[in-house]
Amino acid sequence: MKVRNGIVVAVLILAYAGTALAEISHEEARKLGGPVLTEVGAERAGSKDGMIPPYTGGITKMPAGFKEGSGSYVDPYANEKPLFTITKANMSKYADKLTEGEKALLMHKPGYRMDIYPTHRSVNFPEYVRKGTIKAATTAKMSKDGNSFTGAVSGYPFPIPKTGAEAIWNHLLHYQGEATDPVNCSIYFVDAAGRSSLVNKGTYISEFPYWYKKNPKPNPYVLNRGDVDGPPRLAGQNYMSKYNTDGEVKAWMYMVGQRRVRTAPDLTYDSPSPVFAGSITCDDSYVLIGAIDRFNWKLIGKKEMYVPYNDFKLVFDSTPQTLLNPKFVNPDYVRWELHRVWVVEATVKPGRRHLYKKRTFYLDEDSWAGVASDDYDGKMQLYRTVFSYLIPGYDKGTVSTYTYTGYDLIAGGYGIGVLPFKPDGKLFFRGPLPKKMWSPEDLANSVH
Amino acid sequence: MGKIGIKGRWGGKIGWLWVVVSVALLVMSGKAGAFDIQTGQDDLALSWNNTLRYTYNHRVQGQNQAILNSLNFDDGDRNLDVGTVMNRLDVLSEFALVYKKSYGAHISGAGWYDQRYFDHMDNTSASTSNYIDANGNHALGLTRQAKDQNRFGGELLDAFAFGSFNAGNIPINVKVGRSTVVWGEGLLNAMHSISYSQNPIDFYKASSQPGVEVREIFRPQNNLTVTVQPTSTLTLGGEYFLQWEEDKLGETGSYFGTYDFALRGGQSLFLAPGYSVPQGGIIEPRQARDFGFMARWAPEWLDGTLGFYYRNFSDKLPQLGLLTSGGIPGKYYWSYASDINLYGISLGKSVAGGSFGAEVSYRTHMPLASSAALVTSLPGTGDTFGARGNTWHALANYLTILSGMPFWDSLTVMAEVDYNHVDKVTEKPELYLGRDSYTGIDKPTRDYGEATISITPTWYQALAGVDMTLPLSVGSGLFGNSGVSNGGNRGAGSYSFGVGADIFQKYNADLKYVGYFGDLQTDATGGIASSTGYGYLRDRGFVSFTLKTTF
Repeated sequence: MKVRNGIVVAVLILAYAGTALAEISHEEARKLGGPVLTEVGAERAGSKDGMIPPYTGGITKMPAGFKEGSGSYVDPYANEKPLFTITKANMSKYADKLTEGEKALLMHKPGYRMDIYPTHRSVNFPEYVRKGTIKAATTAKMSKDGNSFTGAVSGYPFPIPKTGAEAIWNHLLHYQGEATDPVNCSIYFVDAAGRSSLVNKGTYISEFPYWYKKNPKPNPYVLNRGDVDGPPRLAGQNYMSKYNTDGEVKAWMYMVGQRRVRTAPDLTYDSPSPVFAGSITCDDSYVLIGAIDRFNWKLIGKKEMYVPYNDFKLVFDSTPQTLLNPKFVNPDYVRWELHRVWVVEATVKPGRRHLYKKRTFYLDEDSWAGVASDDYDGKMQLYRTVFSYLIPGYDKGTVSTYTYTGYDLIAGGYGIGVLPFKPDGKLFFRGPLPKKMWSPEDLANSVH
Repeated sequence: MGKIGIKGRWGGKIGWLWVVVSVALLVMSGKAGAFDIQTGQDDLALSWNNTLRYTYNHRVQGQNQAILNSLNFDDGDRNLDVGTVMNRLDVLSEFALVYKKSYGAHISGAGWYDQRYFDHMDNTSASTSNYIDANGNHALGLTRQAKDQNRFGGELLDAFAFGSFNAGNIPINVKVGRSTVVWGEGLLNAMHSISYSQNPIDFYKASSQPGVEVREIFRPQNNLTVTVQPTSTLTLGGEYFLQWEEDKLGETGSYFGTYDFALRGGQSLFLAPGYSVPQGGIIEPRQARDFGFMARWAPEWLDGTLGFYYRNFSDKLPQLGLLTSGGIPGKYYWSYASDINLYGISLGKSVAGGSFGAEVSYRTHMPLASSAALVTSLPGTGDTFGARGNTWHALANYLTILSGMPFWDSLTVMAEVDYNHVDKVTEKPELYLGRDSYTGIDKPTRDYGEATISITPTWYQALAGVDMTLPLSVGSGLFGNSGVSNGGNRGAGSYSFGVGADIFQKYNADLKYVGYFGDLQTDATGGIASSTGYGYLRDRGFVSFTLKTTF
């Protein structure tokens, strides 16, 4: 009897092994939302030393002074002081919890420091996201070529990832609401000599059909629309783009002088990002966007690391004058916390080409948002590093990583965007726009 | 005849005002951040953008003897010999008022001042000058139009109101006033595009100022434009023009003024050495006349956008006629034809990561390249002196940005091929240059094709704060001669190469060489018997420096 059970179990194991890389078993899926894992797959427990608290549901009570619809989010932790500060002098003590990019900035930029604050696991997703993830988890399946997935919508597809590619898809889809609407926001570039310039200003909407409450669609999974108002020479150069899970990108641009719309050339993969004056690649944006097919993805595992988190002060209380120090973002405004992050490593596939030979991504366990990345050049030198200044949109249960920075460690200079600088900058999380606004011809209704 | 539009004396005053106000703003603004005027009201946005541009052009190519020997094509060439040919400040000022991101108005104007045209002109040949002085003699000098265009002037460009609203579920956008819309998918050459003659084109600014903004090249006219989006894949549009204006060429005596007798500033036409006839005037089409309909359709399965167009419009390039009495030419006239029909289809699609566009169009009643007509009575409004016919036109273009090459950070590539086929000559075939008896070098052939390519490598942050580019471009007719005026000729075209710097995301500095090539045929006197379009410019190669900023 026992032997026969053994064989039955072995056969079952073999059966599951064939699909283990494709879907998780119902066995595992049941863990989601249970005592050990949150619905989106984060460990509920705190860390052993207590520096990371247990997950207790995130921010559920609106902070005092928050006005819904104001486009600005009050910092619930405004009165906190840093627990300690990491500088070049003491960084060796914390080396195992620092990304390579953070280490490089501490080592080579005099004056760079990281103020470490108490950890708050503030993310709180709406019910449909959490329930949708439990459902998606058992049906999501990576495609044969390993670059895309099918079988899921309106939920994180791989809350218990087995591979790097699965984890990175969670990042590409991380929940920023049905739509994120940064209005009158700015992107700045600070060149190697420390001089800052406005590179772009406008309203940059990202809408996520993948997360629609009604009739969600896996493709295109994100729609972007930029209505550019500044700097003056770029006024009216509006654009639209749509991303599919198989990596295909469609883009359109509005030609201001002729008041018409044309398809736009793809700015994808390692094309230099024009809004960051070429200091990062297009796919470095928001830590990572776009197609993942040029890389092999490896899930290294989970680590406790100091990453940007709850950066309300940086996003809502800074100005170009106070935030943009010559060599790095003003450390007075950057809030770092200790969080558990999934570490995912990407290496260029043989026969494929990319400016970066290797990249390391750090994904927040509670939200799946990439909060940091390290990029290595062809000689395996650390080349660039990107950070996203995560804030929870607590009234809508979203997470926003719309504000991010990228440092070119070899050439110098850094860019930062998208920032809702006062007086007119705002950040909203909304429902979907009318369908007609996603017709490329609608760009011709530009006010310019 | 002789319409004084806002461009005339009034335009000069407005232009002067823009220049003064904008320069004053620049001086006062100090740091000159964007002029986003804070209205204190979330719904109302005001902006005032000003572009300041300085252009210095230096002619390096010596004068071509055949052009100098040509009575009707030499004035500009003689006026501006090797040396400084432009030393000019341009201001483009744009004001926008937007309410609730849906309603608003735009007003823009341009002003200019070119020191070179205040200085001494190099022409010493009064007897061949087409300029007529107060005494009625051929003399050295610049016409009022040449001075307005080149020396010191200004004009209103955009002046329109717009509104976007929903009629039930259907978005509607309306624009009324002076505005520009360009239809079709053309990118580099307007002559064979669905957008041919949709707006008057400032060929003069486009050639003489490499740094000119696109919105100064397509000139606004009074019109009513409505677009409607009945479904998310279909957009319908219509436009009705309340105004007509001709294409702008270089005025007589300007560096790019190749035809000494052209436009309202053309004062005389030589028929033989010492013997000229004055201009009688311009026969314009009716002001409110042109209209068009378009539909743009982007069904899912196509993965692109199809456009369908019908336009009925007046030409903005003229044909030449001489009014004779008793067999003797008395005056010459320019006529602009109306009632040209254009039927077009366009396709826009992403292909291999780049932007692909293509068009096919058919024109009926289209003016064709013609000899000067000799008539005893003038054509009526909208009728024209020369031949007309039916023509086919097609183009295909591609725009892409390539990266991942070791030599530069990114490479922008734009390429276009254009094709023209003369189907039938329907009126005055005896004047059509394609007739058997015409032997000029510009004799039209049934088929014509041309290609243009422009590549711009970019190096980001080559110096701290400075992005560098190395723009190169060349365009040429490849086979045949086009049957429409200015449509192009085999072996004729232009090229440019240079270096550019984008400084602090704010200032652009560009240095480039621009050159022209094209054959011409000389006659027994050593002057031009016939020429390709670019042949008249073949000696105008120049170095251009542009510095511009927008604030």
